[in-house]
This record gives sequence, structure tokens and C-alpha cells, in this order.
Amino acid sequence: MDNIKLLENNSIDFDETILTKEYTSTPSISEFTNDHKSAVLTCIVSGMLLTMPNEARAIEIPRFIASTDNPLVYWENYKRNIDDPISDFLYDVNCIASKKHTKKEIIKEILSFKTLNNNWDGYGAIPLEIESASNAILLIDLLGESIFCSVNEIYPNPNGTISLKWNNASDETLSMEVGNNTLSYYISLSNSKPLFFNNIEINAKEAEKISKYIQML
Amino acid sequence: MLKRLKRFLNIFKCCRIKPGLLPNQIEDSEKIARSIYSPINVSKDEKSIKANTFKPPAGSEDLSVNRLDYTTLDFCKKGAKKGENPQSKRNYFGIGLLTAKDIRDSDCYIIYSPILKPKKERNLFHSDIKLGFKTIKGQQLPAEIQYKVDQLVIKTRLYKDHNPYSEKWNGPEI
Repeated sequence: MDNIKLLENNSIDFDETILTKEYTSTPSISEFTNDHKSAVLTCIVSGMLLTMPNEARAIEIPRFIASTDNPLVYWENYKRNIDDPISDFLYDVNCIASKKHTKKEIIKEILSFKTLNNNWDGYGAIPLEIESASNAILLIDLLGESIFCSVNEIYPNPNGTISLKWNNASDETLSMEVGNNTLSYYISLSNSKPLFFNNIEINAKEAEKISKYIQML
Repeated sequence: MLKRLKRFLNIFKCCRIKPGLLPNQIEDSEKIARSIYSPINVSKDEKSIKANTFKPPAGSEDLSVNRLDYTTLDFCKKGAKKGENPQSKRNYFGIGLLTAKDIRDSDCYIIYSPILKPKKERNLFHSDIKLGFKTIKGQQLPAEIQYKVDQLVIKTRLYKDHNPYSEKWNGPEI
């Protein structure tokens, strides 16, 4: 609702003549964009405002003060005040676009694995262990909803653990199995050998590392 | 003299193949079938399988498969349907197909392990894929083994049975 009010209050100059312009043939995207600059801009801005959740919109407007002649300091300031915030902002927007599940959906799915019967695979499998389930839920909070919820696959294993998998269109993968006490994962990126991490404690420090790997996908 | 002869013949006893059994050696080109269940083993778009298809229960490293070159898809389906458990998200879906070479290339191995007893569950085509690591209850697999399992998943071709309720195979020709 706030977004709509904000849009109503926005006063973007609008050239009404563009509405009456007739095209002899179907215009190309660039031709159309040139003619309708302000309208296209309005659409982009309003689209972003309407689709972004609060955490992504809460980004501070970058402030850049070029009060130095030293190019290194200048570059540092630029990176800190302009480049990094914009990269973070774009990552947030991409996360939202690629977000496949909500936190509620994922927790619901994790808990559903607890209701599996003994021998659910016909070969003696056990239901998801309570500790493994709670570790997986803890991981959602540690990684942050926007990163965790881009998970591609989530499934129980016959020995009571739970697996999570993130991948991208280039088949780069981060595959993780969460157990009762620790987790193990590997990351496989194009043109490089997979990296293996075993018996990792589930805490904020490790979650930050994992989060960086997921962002690389 | 007779005793000696008997002892000599006993040496070859272990090499005798029981009638009906298949050769112990599994050729690289042999087709190996693993039963697939839905939704527990299958992705939402039903185009790929999840890695839990190739994860053994606690205390085991074996994954049951059938040697398809010596049997039929109808036989595989019959066996797979016995393992259905709809209450546990386990409905028969189809089969996952690999070659013995795919298994060996994934750093796993396969052994022939016919089931002879009880007679009701007799399966002369049964084999086991061995991961080389025994799973432990509540303890995650080492990352290297997870990678191995994922390699098996990548190499597996999924074939859906379009009528899972019938007794005969209703999927594509393999």
C-alpha cells in the first residue's frame, strides 16, 4: 500500500506526445525505449518497488564524498560507498527473483520428513532425526532466509539426516548433508575440482562461509 | 585313493555355478536397474532423481539393484511394487538405469548378490552397489561420499512407468 502511495506522489515529467506517436512498423526494443524513456523508467522503478520485500528496500542510498586527491583512497571510498552497496543490492534483488520457497514452506517440508514411518524406503530407513531437523531449521536463520530459500532440493536420507542442494544453470553445485551434530558439504564449480568440507560446526561463522559459496553459484 | 580324489574334487566346489545363477562377473556394458519411488526420490518436475535414491540405511553401504540384461522390466516392476509405502511418500514411479561402467566410473563397485532365501523373495538377478562407506544413524555422509552419490545420480537415466498401478511395465522401450 505504501508503495502505491509513493508512486502516486512521484512526479515524473511525462511527454504526452509519445502516446499519440504512430509507428509504421513494430518498433524495436531500443527504439521504443528511447521514445518512452520516462514511461519505461517508471515501470522499472514501480516494478522493483512493488516486488521487493522490506529487507531489500531498506538499503541506504550510497553517499560518496570524493574529498581526497589520493587515487587509492578515492578508489577505496568509491568501492565502500558505491560499488559494494550496489553489488549487495543487486544480489538481494537476484535472490528475491530466484527465491523458490518461503521459510514457512521449507520448515513445513522439513517437519513432514519427521512423520515418515520406520522402514520408509523398504530397506530399513528411519525417519528424520529431531536433532538433524532442528539443525536444518537453525541453518535457515544463520544463512538468512533469502539465501537459504533459493535451495533447489531438500530431502531426507535413510539414516535420519537431511540433504540440501543449491545449483545453477551451469550445473555448479553446493551439496550439503546436515546431521545430528555437524554438517558436511562440497562445492563443485565449473573448471575446478570440488572442494570438500567435513564435520562442520553449525554456527554463524561457518554459515557466513557457506553463504558466500552459495552466492558464488 | 578315493579320499584323495574327493578332496581334489572339493577344491573345485566353490567354483561351481549353481543352476539358474548368473555369471559372477558383471560386464561394464551391463544395464543395472534401481527402483525409483515418488515423491521421495523424484524432483518436482519428475525429470530427475534425488540423491537419496542412492543412499543406504544406517549401518549399510549396499544399494539393491537388478541386472536388467538377464531379466525383464516386468520382473523389476513386480519387485519394486513390493517396496511401495504410500504413507511414507513412496509410490512406485519407474526405474533408474545405469551401466556397470557408470557405477565403476563413480568410484563405487557392484557385486552379484542373488537372493536365494526365503523362496518367496528369491531373486537371482539381484546385485548390490557398494558405496565404500557404512552410513551411521543421524550422522551425515562425508562430503567425498556425497559427491560419489551425486555422480551416480548424474549418470542415472530416469524412466517413468506411465501406469504404475498395472502389473506390467508401461514405460518406454529400454
